[in-house]
Formats: sequence, C-alpha cells, structure tokens
Amino acid sequence: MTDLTHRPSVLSASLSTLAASASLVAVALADTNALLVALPGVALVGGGALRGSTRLVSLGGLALTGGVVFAGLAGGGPEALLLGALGALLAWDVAEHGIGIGEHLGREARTARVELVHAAVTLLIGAVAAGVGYAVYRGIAGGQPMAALVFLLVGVVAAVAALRRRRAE
Amino acid sequence: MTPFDTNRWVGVDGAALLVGAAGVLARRPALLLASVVGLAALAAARIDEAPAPTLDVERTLSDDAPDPGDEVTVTVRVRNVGDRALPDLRLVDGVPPALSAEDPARLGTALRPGAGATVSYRITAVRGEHDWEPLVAISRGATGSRERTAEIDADTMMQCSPELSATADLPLRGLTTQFSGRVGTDVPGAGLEFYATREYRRGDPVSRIDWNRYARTGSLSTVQFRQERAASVVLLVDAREAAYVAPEQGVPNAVERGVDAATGAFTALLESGDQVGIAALAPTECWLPPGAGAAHRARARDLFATHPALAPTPGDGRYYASVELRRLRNRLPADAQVLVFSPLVDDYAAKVARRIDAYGHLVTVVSPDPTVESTPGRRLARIERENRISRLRRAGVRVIDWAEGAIDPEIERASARWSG
Repeated sequence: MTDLTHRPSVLSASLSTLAASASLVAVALADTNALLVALPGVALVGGGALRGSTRLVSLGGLALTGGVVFAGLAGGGPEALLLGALGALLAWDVAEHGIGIGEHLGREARTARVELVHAAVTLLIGAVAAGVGYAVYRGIAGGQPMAALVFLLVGVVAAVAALRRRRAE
Repeated sequence: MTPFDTNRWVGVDGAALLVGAAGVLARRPALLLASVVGLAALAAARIDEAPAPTLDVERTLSDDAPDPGDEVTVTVRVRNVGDRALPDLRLVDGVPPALSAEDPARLGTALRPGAGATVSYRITAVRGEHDWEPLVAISRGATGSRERTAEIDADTMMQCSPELSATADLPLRGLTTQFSGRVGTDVPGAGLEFYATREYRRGDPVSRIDWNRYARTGSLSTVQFRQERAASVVLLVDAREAAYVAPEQGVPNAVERGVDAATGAFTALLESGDQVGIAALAPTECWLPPGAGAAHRARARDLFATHPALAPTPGDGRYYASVELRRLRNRLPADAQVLVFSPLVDDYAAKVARRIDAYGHLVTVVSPDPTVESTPGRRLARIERENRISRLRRAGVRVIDWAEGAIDPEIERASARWSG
C-alpha cells in the first residue's frame, strides 16, 4: 500500500543542484567573493529541492543571483555572468518544478519525462536569450556605453512592468 | 475548468530587476546583460498558456471479477487526441475508495499530439462492487505559469464476490424449528446423543432395546436419544457509519470483518441444515429472509458482494434508529435466533442486541475488536467496549470477543465456555 508522500522527485533535485553548481563555478571564476555568496545558494537549492521546501529553494535562488551580482560588481566578463544567471534560473526553476510534481504525484510515481521536458524548455529559453543578448552586446561593444545603458535601463523597467501586470481575466 | 495562474514566477521579476539595477548603478554593462536571462524566462511565462488536456483514456483490468484478496493489475492508456502538445501533464487515476493501490496510480508525462502513455498499478481486490472515479488530468504550460484541471471519464467497474467458505460451526442456542438439524434439544426422540431410557412399549424398534439391561434385570427398556433440530438464524450485520472503525489505516474495518464472519457463518449454518437469513443495521435497507437451498445461497452470495448496505466504505443517508429496529423486529420470524456482528463501539448496537433478546429471539453477538491502546482516548474507548460486553453477558447475551486474526479459534474458545 502506498500513500501519497508528497515528497519531491530526486531527479529534479539532482538536476537543480547540477545547474546551481554550474552557476557557482561560473561566478567563482570571475570573483572569489562571489563564491562565498553563491556557495550557500547551492546548498539551499539542493537541500530545499530534496526536502520539498519552496522557501529554501527561493532563498537559494536569491543567493545564486547575489553571486552573479557580486561577480558583476567585481568586473566579471559577460560570458561568466550570463552562464551564472542561466545556472541560477535553471536551478531555481527545476527545483521548484520538482517540488510541485512531488506535491501532485509523489516521489514514487514515474515523472522523469515531465521533469526532463520542463528542464529542457527552461534551458532552451535561457540559452536563446543569453545567446541573442550576448550577440547584441558584442555588436554594440565599444559604442556609447552610457547612452546605451540608459536606454537599456528604460527598456528593462518597461519590460518588467509589462510582465508584472496580471492578465485581464 | 478554466486555467488559472500558478504564481510560481512571482519574485523572479524582482531578482531580474536587482541584477539589472546593480549593473546600472555600478556601470557594469555585463551585469545589465545578465538580467536578460531572467527577463526572457518571464516573457515566456507571460505568453505561455496551459493547453486543455484532450485525452483519450482507456482503462483495462486484468480481471474484472476477481476473488477477494486477488491481485488485479490495472492498466490505464492515455493518448493526446488534441492538436496541441501537452508539455506538462500530471495524471492521477480515480482508484475506488475501498481499494488501495500497491503502486502509485499517478503519472507525470509530456505528450505530443497523437502520443500516448501508459500507467499500470496493482490493487488488491476487496469484496464489493467498485466503480472507478474519473481520471484527474492537471495540465500546465511549458513554463508552468498557468494550470488547468480536467476530469476524464472512463467507465470501469469491478465486481468482487466472496467465496462462500464455511467457518467453524457456530454454537447455536436452543431455539429451533420443526426441521431436523444439529442443535440439540431437550426433547427425546431420534438423534445421536444418549438422552434417557424408558420402559419398553410395543412397537419400539428392536435396535433401540437396551439388551444389557435386559440381561441384567430381565425387563425390557428402550434407549432414547436427544432429538436434534435445525435452527432458523438471522445474521444481523451492524453497518451503520459508526461501525466503520479500524485500528489503523489499511486494516479491514469492523464492518468488513463482520461481513466476512457473517459470510463464513452463513455457509456453515446452511451446510448443517439450518435456515439462514441476512439483515443489516444500515441506512440502506437490507433483508434476506431465512431460507435454504442453492438459490438462497446464490442470492446471499450476491447480496454479500454487492449490496450497498454492506459495502466496505460507509454509504450515504441517515440511519433512523428506532424505525429500523421496529421494522427488523416485525420481520424476524418468531423462532429465529439472531447472530449480531457488531464492533460494539457505541451503546446503540448493545441496545439492539438486548432488545432483540428481550423479544424472545436468542442472541449471540460476534464482535470484531477495533480498539487499540495507543492514546488515553483510545484506551477509554476500549474500556467502554469491554464494559458493554460484560453488561451484555450479564444480561444473558452470548458475546464472542474477536480480537484479530481468524475467527475460528475464537469460536472454539467461546463454545468451550458455553453449555447448551
């Protein structure tokens, strides 16, 4: 007899720990201070994903993001930062998804397919965005950094504001 | 169902802004660039929608009429018959509440249009008629920002009838019918057990003459035996909601054990020539008048298997205590004994037993014990039940206290204690 245990799946937890480690390595190469911020992030994401705590996973994602910020402030290159951000996004997303799957279906059910598809989709979105962003960055590098920055800032704020708005339904 | 937001991306916008803002304030273009990753994911989540799961569900059972205790493999085949891919599909099968699945009846998968998936699980059959509930399909978009739920019907039914196998002979009490049977009476006549001798009368069979006595005294005398008669018995199963109690999860509840015992008793009594009927204290009416023969046996088997009043999970509806008791009393044949199968977890069942006893039907109570001692409250319930049993015994009602395991040893022990 198996009762629904609501425990998160191990596959997602492992995948997210892997992604978090990739993010850690990327930011650590740029700055050793970033390592100190991101290291607890890896532990929080991995532990949270195994224990089924969304709060721990979110804190871990935030710590990994903090690692990216520290690496950026220390003058890390765009490659390392993009990789760090992609790792952080993937780690948080896969871990949170695994917890949700666990709540719906439990650890004992066969769920590998849905988890792998979800991780692949997130990886694809992040990688395409990072690739396009990197190409544009390389294209405009050496131009007017301040003017470009201001426009970028306005664009980012507008984009976030648009995305924040709820669907009218 | 209409799709709704899962709110899982709330907060990611903050993190993306944080990275971007740090890049602006510190004049690090690379950091601003890094926030693109988060924004892209947010944009994808924003335009993502949960596709409606248009599924074709087919459920097959390895055996749709198993015996109780048999293992049945259930195979559910799901196919995406819509024209959109389902990137995040969670399926939970509607296993009937009385059955418990050995393996998870759940599946997480992603289906292209036309693609299919299979989940199979084993269940252990229990007595009754089981209807599967609809399969619940939870569909999310690829980013998981939206979710919708659908219930998909696939009618499946399993009917599980008990084998009518006899338990040890239940000791009946001395209230009998005019038919010959196995219950010893205080009437001399044809039988097996020695009863008395009397003076020879013309016409007595020669084989009955006590020749030893004739040799000793020279006078003829005839041996008489105890006449054995058949009884008329009504098996009364307590199947009120209060009787659905079990010591722990996954263990048969008192009603299931009571029905099991009643099934065994029914066969044993029928085989020894007694007339047996079935009744239940339940919201749904259940009455099979005492009878005998193959047709009666088949009717009883069907009733034990499928009657809603004896189902392994409580039914709906109110139980009208005094009305039902009066109806039962009117139905009971005057010469019927009553075997009550009740856990005796409340005073009502004990009251019914004493009331029927008072109406002149001899009553024996078979009581499956569902109590445990893990908490003070449960210990109290156990003591209350024990008190109820001893009060019943003081009132002249026989009680078999059936702790756990097989009922036969309990019957042996109880019959050793009782006489006649």
